[in-house]
Amino acid sequence: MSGYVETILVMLSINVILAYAAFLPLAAGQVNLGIAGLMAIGAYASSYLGAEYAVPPGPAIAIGVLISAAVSIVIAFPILRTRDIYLALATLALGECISGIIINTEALGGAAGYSVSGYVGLPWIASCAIGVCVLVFILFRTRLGLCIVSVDDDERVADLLGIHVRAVKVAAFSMGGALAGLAGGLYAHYFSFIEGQHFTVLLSVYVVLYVLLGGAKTLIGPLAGALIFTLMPELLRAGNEWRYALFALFVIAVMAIRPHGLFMPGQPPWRRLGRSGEAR
Amino acid sequence: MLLQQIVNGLLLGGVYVLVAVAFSICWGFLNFVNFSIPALFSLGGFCIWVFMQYGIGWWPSALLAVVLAAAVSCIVERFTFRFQRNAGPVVPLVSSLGFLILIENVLLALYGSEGRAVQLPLQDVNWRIDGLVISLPQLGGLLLAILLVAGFSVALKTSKLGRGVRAIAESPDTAVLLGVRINSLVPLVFLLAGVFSGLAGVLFALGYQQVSPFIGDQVALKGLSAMVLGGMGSIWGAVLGGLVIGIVEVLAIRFWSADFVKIAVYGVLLLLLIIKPSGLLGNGQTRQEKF
Amino acid sequence: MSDTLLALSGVSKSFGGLKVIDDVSFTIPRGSRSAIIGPNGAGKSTLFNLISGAFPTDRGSITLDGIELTGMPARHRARHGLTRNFQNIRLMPTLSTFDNMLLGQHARAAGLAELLRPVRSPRARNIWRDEVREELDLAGLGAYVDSRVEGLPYGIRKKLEIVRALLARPKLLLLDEPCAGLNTAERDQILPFLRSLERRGITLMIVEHDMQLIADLCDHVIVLNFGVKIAEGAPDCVRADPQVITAYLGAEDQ
Repeated sequence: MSGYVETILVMLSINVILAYAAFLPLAAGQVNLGIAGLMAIGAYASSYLGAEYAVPPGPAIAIGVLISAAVSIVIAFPILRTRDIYLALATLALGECISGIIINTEALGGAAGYSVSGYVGLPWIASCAIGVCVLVFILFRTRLGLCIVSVDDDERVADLLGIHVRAVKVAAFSMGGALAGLAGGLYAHYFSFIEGQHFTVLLSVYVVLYVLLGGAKTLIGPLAGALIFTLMPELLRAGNEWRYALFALFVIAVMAIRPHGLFMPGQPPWRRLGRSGEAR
Repeated sequence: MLLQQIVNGLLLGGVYVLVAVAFSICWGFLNFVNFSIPALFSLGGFCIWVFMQYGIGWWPSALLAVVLAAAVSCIVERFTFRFQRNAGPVVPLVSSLGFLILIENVLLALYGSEGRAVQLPLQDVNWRIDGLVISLPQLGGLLLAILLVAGFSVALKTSKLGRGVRAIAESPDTAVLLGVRINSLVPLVFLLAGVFSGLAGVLFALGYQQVSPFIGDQVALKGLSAMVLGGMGSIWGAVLGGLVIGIVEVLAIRFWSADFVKIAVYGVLLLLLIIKPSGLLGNGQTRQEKF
Repeated sequence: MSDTLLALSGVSKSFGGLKVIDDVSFTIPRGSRSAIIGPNGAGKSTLFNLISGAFPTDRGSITLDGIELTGMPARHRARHGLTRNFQNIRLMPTLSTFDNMLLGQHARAAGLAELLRPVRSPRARNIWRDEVREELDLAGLGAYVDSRVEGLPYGIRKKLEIVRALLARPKLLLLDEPCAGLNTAERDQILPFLRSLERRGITLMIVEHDMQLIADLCDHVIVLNFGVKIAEGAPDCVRADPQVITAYLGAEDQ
């Protein structure tokens, strides 16, 4: 397998994990624009453990996931007091704060970046991506998954039906944070180098965009979005300068025709929807 | 010393004010956080350099840049708000983010990411009083910004168009019944947002004389913070917020370092959103769920 | 086991200075079918919201089967046997009938094991699935089990919402205008269904404007006007009560 193909597959795997990291809170109605920050926590925590305490990559990444999850839970309580656009903005601010703190911490390399000693190869990374997909699919077969979706649909009624809405929201947010941490740890241990400037709002925006592009109301949507985001520029042989512009153009076009994304529940993507949402 | 810092902060704030007002009118009238505004800012600021490259003078370039930003804003309206009003609040947000990425990456692909210098005949013209140094171009910008916002505010209250726009903000359905033409007023709001953001970018270019395709990102996000600080939807709140953020930023750079500015501004925003999302001049009402 | 299922005592609620419920007290016997009636604005829906826990009372107490509901969050009340429907039908729009019904069971599916059980799986065999199918069949709605609720007819959705409430195995079922918006045929269909609930030992409390329905179905009527209880008793007595007549006629005059 050529190095080029291998890198693409690694990026695809990581993008898939990030897709579900964004999808879980979205399924509960939360737009998380701070995913990059939570990814950074996983990346830096696992790398630091490897560098300072000689922890092998596997356990280091696992601990990184736990730390991202813990940070997400702690932050979820105050941040989930906001909702809708206020929540989106708060998570945006959160992500920027985390990235700002990392850039200013000399022990983590500051603005110059941080070298990662351990290495994780494609087989592990791809397995993690597949594992995440399987876990998410199973999750949404359970009552917990049903609770998450219902909290987005009608929070008041969910409450009256006996669902602990606050707990469900925190769970969705934290599980998303854990997945972001996983993506970060894997990324760090493949590319062997991480810098604060990579984990910006823009990254979070890309992730949220491609999940919504694929369709945030179905389980397959995020996967489709990650595929398109990773592979489309390669297929179009777009140079590095134009890849994001083209992606953005595609997103805008799709949103104009199918506002809920390519995959909608019960509607295959080739069914064109009119503006009122009725199938033609 | 402190007064100089405050003056510098106010001058910087002038730029934030226009951006904050642009965000504010989109939020206040359309319930929509328009993430294309940072791109329109970049577009305005960067294009003044582009036009000057063609030999056009600085002020026609400025004018053209603002017009371009306004025109692009109207295109954004056609492809975000108009189609997706009924598809939920997330969708227009996402499309506007799409435009942000599209516009800035097009500029990046065409012109590269390096900073470009904007040559002005009025460089380094300063007003010195009592040991304070006030940059005239920046002062001009601040005054222009405040004048424009004041004029807009007055027009909003007195003109027929203004009343129509406020009616839409209250209740789009009722407004339609009362004969307000939503389809021509909504583009107007976008047009104004484009004018304000583009002008802010132009003023930034004229004041700091250095532009790149990404100037919008940091500046506009601070404009967003300014809007939240001042009270989302309140125009004078946006003005107040813009000036305060300008001052906070300058003081943070002075007393800590440039690196900490990011954490300072976003930390403030985060706390604000959690504790008092209605901001300084907001009316303290977060959306109550009707049962 | 006491004969009283629900007891309200001195319940009051104001919204911003306006007293919407004023010192209301009554008891609902177990197994009865009670109606709450009154002119528009009398506070009927508010009363339901107070009992179900959508908002807290200002004063007074509400007990269900001896358990004090005052101060208890809404989500716990379902667990104690209290469920309701909504005047304007609030089923989860993007979910299927089956999923909506599963949600109705949530109050009884306690614990982490239940939360993580893959109950939505099409091929899973478990008591929850069977129960949903059974209830839907009883209501004559078995055909709709996999449909998305969004496209279903109004009358069907109204019935589905009640089935969802039944899946919580309630002691007390609050029905907010169960016949609103139904045509005569649909109404005639839903009536036997409501009657069958009595056989299952469920106590009903209904808000309704349809006097004929109340006469057919209920044995106990409570009348509210401007947030105050003005009459209580058997349907015939209440109908003849002069205060009640004035309340309704007075309202019509306006």
